[in-house]
Amino acid sequence: MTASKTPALRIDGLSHRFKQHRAVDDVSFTVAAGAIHGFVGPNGAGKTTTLKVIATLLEPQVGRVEVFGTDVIYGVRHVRRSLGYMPDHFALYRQMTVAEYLDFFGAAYGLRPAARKTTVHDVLQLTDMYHRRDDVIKGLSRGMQQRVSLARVLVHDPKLLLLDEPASGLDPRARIELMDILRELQRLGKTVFISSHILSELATLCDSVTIIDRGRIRYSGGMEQLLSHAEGEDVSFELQLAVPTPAVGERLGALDGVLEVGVDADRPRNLTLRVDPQRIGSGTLLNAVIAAGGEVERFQRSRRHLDQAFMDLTEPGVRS
Amino acid sequence: MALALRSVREAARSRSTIWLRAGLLVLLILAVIAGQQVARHSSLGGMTLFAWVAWCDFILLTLMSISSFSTVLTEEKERMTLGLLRMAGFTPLSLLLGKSVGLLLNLLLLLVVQVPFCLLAITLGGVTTHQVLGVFGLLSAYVLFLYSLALLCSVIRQRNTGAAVMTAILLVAYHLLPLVLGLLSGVMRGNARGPLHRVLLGWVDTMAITTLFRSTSMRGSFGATFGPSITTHLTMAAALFTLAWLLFERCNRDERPAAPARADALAIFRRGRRRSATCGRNPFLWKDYRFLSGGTFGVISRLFAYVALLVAIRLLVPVQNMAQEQFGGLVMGIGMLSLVVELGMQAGRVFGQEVKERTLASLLITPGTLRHIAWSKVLGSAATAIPGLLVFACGAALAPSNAAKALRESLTEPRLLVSAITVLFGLHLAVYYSLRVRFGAAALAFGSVIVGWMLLGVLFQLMGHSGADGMMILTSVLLVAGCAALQMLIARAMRTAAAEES
Repeated sequence: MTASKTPALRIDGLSHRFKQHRAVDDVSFTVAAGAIHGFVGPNGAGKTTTLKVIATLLEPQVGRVEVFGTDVIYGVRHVRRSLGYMPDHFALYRQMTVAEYLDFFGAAYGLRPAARKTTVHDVLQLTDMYHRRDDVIKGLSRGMQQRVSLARVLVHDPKLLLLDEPASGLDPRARIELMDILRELQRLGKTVFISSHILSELATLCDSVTIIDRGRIRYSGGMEQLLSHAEGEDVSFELQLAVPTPAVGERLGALDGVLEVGVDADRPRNLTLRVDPQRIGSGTLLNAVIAAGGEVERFQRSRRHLDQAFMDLTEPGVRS
Repeated sequence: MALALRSVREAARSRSTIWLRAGLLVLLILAVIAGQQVARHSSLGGMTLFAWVAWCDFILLTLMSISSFSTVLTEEKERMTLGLLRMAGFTPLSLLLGKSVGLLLNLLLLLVVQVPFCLLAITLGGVTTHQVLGVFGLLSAYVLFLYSLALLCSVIRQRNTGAAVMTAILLVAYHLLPLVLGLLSGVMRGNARGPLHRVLLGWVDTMAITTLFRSTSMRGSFGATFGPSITTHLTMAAALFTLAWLLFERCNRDERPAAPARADALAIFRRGRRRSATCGRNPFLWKDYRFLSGGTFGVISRLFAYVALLVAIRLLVPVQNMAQEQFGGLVMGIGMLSLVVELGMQAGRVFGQEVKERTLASLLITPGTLRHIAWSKVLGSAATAIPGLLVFACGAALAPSNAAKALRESLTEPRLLVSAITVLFGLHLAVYYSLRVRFGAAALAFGSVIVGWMLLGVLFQLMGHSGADGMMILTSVLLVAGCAALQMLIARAMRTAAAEES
């Protein structure tokens, strides 16, 4: 097997229990190298336990976990060097300055002083924290502390990043900026394994996704396939017109492949379309809207189906 | 009173209370058996049992007050929940009582249940009813005094560590300062009893430790011994509680996020601009040396404090009253005491901060081995003992004959060897507790060692080996084995704590 074909992460039949509580039950999935892979599940689904096994903090009781082909039990040192783990809390030494904190972890990973200086400079630039390098961490905002934590996992240049709910508690701007940083990291060749309990949050970021619930895998595969899986044979679109135009609804309803046209009673400018993607495309729909005299303000594929997919794949109730 | 009722319910149901009561029961049964053994060949069997229980209680209550009462409010401050409680309409008085009364009642209850056991001591001989009831009355008043003192520290300080350290310092000052000042004033005046000397000795006379010592070491009715001591402690308790109540608003107006302090005394000279330090060859050692022991600045400042103390003693005490050898011995004693105390305190913090700040997992997934990380951290923290070591060395240089004698005795006298191993065992225990308890690891380790010693004493008395060299050898072997076992337990606890971080 060539290096490029070796998956970044391979989990095969992983099970882990805490006393009587089965946290992870026969979990198997693969993450391709260079991908951004979402790991989604409700609270108590087993995400953090799986991440801790991958990060070598817990030994797998049953099953096998490999990081770039190396077993997490037998090649623990090698695995630790090739991954960067960011827990759901930021795990910061808050009395240190940003630069001291990164320098400390650089040294802990065995980087020489000269290399550390360059690396710390680079990761601070990447996370846009260079101007705050001499600030004590406890004085930073939550968003900035999260960047410092992300910078820490990058300091030894790992190939695989394990991020446990990194966006939790961040404001919308900080979330968007975090997603931009993760895309940049993917461009730099890193594999990103990111956990979240909100599927729609990862929809635009991830190439592939695994959904876990009550310790068992409910779905693992590409994001596009998940959308198809969620929608079945239908696709939904949201249309917003500049002014209410009743002719648009009539025109769309008459098209072959349009299964349903819904008009919002309170806001008649907003329409919802349910179509069969095999029979009609988005271009035909837009042309029909324009031909009926409609002025389009917004036209997008509905994201509601992602939440629906999540609801369909997971069971109701909170697991302790 | 809702908070107080909840606190009483929680204290009654908590697992630690059940363990504490069970442990106490075991100790009492052992003490009764030991007392019975002594009663076979002496008329002081009851005194043995009684003294053992009284001193055990005294030490444990002191340690528990430092670790439990002093963190009652700081715990809420660290979690930033004190403001929420204030918003819910709780007044300072209801908060002070509500957060602590359960624990206080629990401790008083533990004292009360011991009274029937100790009344058995009367039948074993050497103790009177008045003595038993007087000592338990005194211990109850002492608990109330400790409670109020620790509560005051909890009101004033913002963090658990700060409150516990402040309580410990005030308690040490309360126990030692009058005694030291009394001795010094006696020495300064050539043993002439001046008015200050008399006042101080009168004060010392009412202290719990003095009264307790008198009432557990001799026979007699003790007449009015307990009355003044109990009254003094109750008065102090009331005064300290009132002070805590009055200071509550002033000290807790602002809620500040709790974060470990950064010792950066030189920042003022850089006009607020901070330059980040670069870590050394061993980053784990560097981190704990710099941020837990205070770094070079911390070591030097502590050394200056010791030097200032010693210079003050030298200046206060005329040379004719204290020869160089005596002074050297005193310096060696201070050095040794600070060495043990500071090492113990640091051992109790080695992993405590990592667990509290949830940073252990990040540390353990670095490629270094667990052993390397743990030992580096311990060595970094142990740097705090450098001033004590230097003071001890100075003392040895001032009193070379004393130092040579101490060295000779440490090589030949088994008791000194056992003491050294006990300190080593206590340090291991403190490091282990720092991974298992949220606060008070050092106090808990100290208490465990004391109770362990007492337990061993009772066991050896039952086995008829009291005072023999065999006991010393067996104790040394047990302690060394205990150190080895604790090292394994520490490694396991590190892994568990890292895996449980969330």
